[in-house]
Amino acid sequence: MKRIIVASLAAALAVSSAVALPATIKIGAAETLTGDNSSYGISIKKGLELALQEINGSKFLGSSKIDLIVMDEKADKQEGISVFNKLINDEKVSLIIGPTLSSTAFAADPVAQQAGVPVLGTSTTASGITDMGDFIFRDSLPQSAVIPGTINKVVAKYGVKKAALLYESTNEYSKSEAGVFKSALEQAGVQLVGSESYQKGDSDFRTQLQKLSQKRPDLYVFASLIGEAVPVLQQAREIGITQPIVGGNGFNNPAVIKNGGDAAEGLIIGASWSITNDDPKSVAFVKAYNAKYGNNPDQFAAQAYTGLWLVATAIKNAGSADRVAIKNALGAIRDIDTALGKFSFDDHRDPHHENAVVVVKNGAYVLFK
Amino acid sequence: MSFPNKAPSAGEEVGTQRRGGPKAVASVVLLVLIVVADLWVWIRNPDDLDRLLINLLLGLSAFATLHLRLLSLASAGFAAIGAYASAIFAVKLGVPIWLAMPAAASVSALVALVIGLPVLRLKDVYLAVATLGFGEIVRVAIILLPDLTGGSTGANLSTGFPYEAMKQTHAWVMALVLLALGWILATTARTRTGRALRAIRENADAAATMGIDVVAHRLLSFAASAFLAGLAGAFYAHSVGSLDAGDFKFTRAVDVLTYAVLGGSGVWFGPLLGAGFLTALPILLRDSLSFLQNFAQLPNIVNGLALMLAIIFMPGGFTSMFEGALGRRGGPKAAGKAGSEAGRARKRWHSAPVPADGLAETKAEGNEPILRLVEVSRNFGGVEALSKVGFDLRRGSICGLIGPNGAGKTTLINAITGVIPPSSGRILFAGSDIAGRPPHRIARAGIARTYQNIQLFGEMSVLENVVVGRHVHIRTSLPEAWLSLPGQRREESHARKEAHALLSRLGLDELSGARASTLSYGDQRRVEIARALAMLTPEPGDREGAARPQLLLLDEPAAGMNEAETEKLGDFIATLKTHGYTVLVVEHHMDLIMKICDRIVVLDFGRKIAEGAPEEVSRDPAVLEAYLGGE
Repeated sequence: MKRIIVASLAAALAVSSAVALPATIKIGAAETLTGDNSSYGISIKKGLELALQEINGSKFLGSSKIDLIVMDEKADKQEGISVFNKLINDEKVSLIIGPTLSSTAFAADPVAQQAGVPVLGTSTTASGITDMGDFIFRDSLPQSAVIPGTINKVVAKYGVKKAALLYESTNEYSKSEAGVFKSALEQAGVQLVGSESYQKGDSDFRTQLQKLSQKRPDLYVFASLIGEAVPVLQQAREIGITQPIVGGNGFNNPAVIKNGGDAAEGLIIGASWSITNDDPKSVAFVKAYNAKYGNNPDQFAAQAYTGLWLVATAIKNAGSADRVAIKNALGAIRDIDTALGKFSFDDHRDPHHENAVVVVKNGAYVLFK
Repeated sequence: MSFPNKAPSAGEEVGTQRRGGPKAVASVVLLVLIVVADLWVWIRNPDDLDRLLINLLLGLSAFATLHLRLLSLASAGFAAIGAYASAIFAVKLGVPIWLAMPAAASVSALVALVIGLPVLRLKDVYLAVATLGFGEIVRVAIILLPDLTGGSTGANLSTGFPYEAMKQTHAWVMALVLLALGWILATTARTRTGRALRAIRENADAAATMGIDVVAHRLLSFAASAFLAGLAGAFYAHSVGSLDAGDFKFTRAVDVLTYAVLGGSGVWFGPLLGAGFLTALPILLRDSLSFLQNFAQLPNIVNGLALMLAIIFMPGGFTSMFEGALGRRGGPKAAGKAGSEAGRARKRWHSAPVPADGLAETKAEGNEPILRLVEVSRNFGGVEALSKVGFDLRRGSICGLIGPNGAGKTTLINAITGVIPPSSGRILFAGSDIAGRPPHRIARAGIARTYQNIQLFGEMSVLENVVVGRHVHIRTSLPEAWLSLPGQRREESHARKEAHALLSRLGLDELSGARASTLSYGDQRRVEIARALAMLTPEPGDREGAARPQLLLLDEPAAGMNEAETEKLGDFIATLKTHGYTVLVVEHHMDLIMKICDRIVVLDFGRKIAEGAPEEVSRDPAVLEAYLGGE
């Protein structure tokens, strides 16, 4: 008897929540809007506001509207905690998008996890973010996910058999990037014929490059920071390397094209998203962004824009503004078309989508095909 | 909380008695506003209590150095050390958090002791830059030790620091700890150590010649500051649960400095007010201006503006308003009317019978020289300010040191007291060579001095100035003083009594509550004499002390005094002789010198040109030539 009542109550609740979304659904966003890292946060805010305008304008959630509350977490851990608390306790938001930096996320996300509020990071790429709990999601591909996709495309196109690696050994980021490159090459069935390293502040890389070229690889992989990226490229071209070159994240910078000149031609880099992406949702996003703001979006805007659309989709699928319901619906998202491409969350709440691979041609990035 | 010495006499200490006035009212209102704002912020969001406590601790840390006018920017570095050490202790070594935090803070304090010795020799901007460099070194070290710290990507799950184990806030315990620390600082201010610290703040050189070990006190304060910053860092680590080098940037050290500048660094709760204000204001602005979503910079601008206005209208910080209110008084009996009071006091000095107490009977047995100078020389670059000066000073005698301007008289006193050690030669005091010893050691051996250019602790009361002189005689340790044991109170009140007695002798007791800098020139000279005597005079019943040699060096004590005062001073110095003190007096008042001195030494161009009884010296042709110009 009891069970029947409970079951029918649950059914009644499910039905009522399916039909009745609240008139406004509060979504919080905690981003870095001031200080050194504010350029990221401001891009993110623009991406979010564009998505908000489209979602509410198109009545995607019927008569319900999303109320987006954007707050500045100042890239500060304590402020991040404080802002999360305010969004959760005072604003009673259903979900929080953000924060901008991984370091802030490590401090603030546990607040939401503990309160049972889902969090969607759109720019946090450090490993361990989603390990903080089952309410923590992100749609930003970490570098460890971008590199394998890039290598696979390049290997498939050129039929690469042997590869060589040059990296900076004095910095955590380049070292870990080099590790990801190694395992991605291995996975792709490519033999690593040579691996050389240099130290921060070195200016002559010819010895290492000569050593590598003697092994006659079909592909070169460089894991450098922006400071050494251009001289490494130039000296590689100088000693006559004509094979394809894949650069790490340090090469994903307009300064490489500008200062590298001819040496940068043919450089291949991977990114979570590129403005050259040609799938319809991405093209539409770039157009709408340009119409609203008068300039081109970057990867942070694209990920934020996609993020709010993912949230809206989850709310629609859940038929509820309830925090747990949204969390469950987010986790169930598989293979939907977004500006980032065909998007899924994996079982660990990390994103899955094809990353962009671009190549420098005539001093500009074009889609690598 | 119990404050020792809050007897009626406490009113004589500048800074303990408050009187009404618009400024005092304003400052109380401000204080209440800050406290209410902080309480409100914290009640609305309990996690902000952590933030407030961390900043308050950092404020106390800033006070510990700025109180001595040490402009240190090392707080971010020490906080970083405390944070990482506590994280490593608690997470990697499994130490309970309540043990890990003080242990981590102690690591910071130890590092401070090591770097303090070389760094604290620097002053002002140089110290600031050096401590800034230290902060950067810590930051780089964090990045270069990835196995220990997680490197540039920080300490969190990804690098082996289990997040849950690290994140534990104990805000209530920390609040109690903070109260306890505040109480310790407040209590310290009223002890011998606190007084010594204030004296160093006012005038480090004069403090050293009162027997205060300036280097040790500075080092101790630096270490205390590092401990407090380290504790703040440790609490931060467990509050936010993840660390990276970016948390301890230079700007953090500047924030901490701002707490102290805004709140005022003269009183321990000044930086606390500054920290409370600067923590609450941005949060309140953020929450009240949140409707202005497209003006994210606005709260920052308003915050900056408030800071600017506060500094402009309260240049000495919030607490300066208290001090401002106090400045117009100075004690129950003085300061505002310091001038007229001083006049009356001086008259009283002329007519009063010399009180019996205040001076100890020191035993002047034997006729051995108390001080023997052997070929004392001092060069400044190529200039010989002193050239092989040698003479003996008999115990219980008064010796005059005269000579034209620039003869090297003050240089000689500086050489004897260690302020400017001699380049060569020996200075034997009671048989042992004191040349080149640090000033506080020489002072403790029994040599006190006054200065030609008055070197009082200007912002302290007259009484406090003299009690500083008793520093070497008060034996209570700091922990005993914190507990305010009866012995400590007895010692303190005894020191005050001695100081009062000395001041009475010099006709200054009426002015004992006045701020020293408000006194007239002549009165200030007599305060210096009282202070010097306070240091020399042994405790009653201290037989060993009474047997110790006592040498008083007076550098132009009568300068700025009128004839009647000069005469009275002469009588006083003569009395000192009968009490067994030995006096070396530099003076231009020849009448005074001729009247009181047993012997006279004459310097000219750094050389001794004559020595002997007054009547001999006054007839000496070399002396006449030096004074009259080679005729």
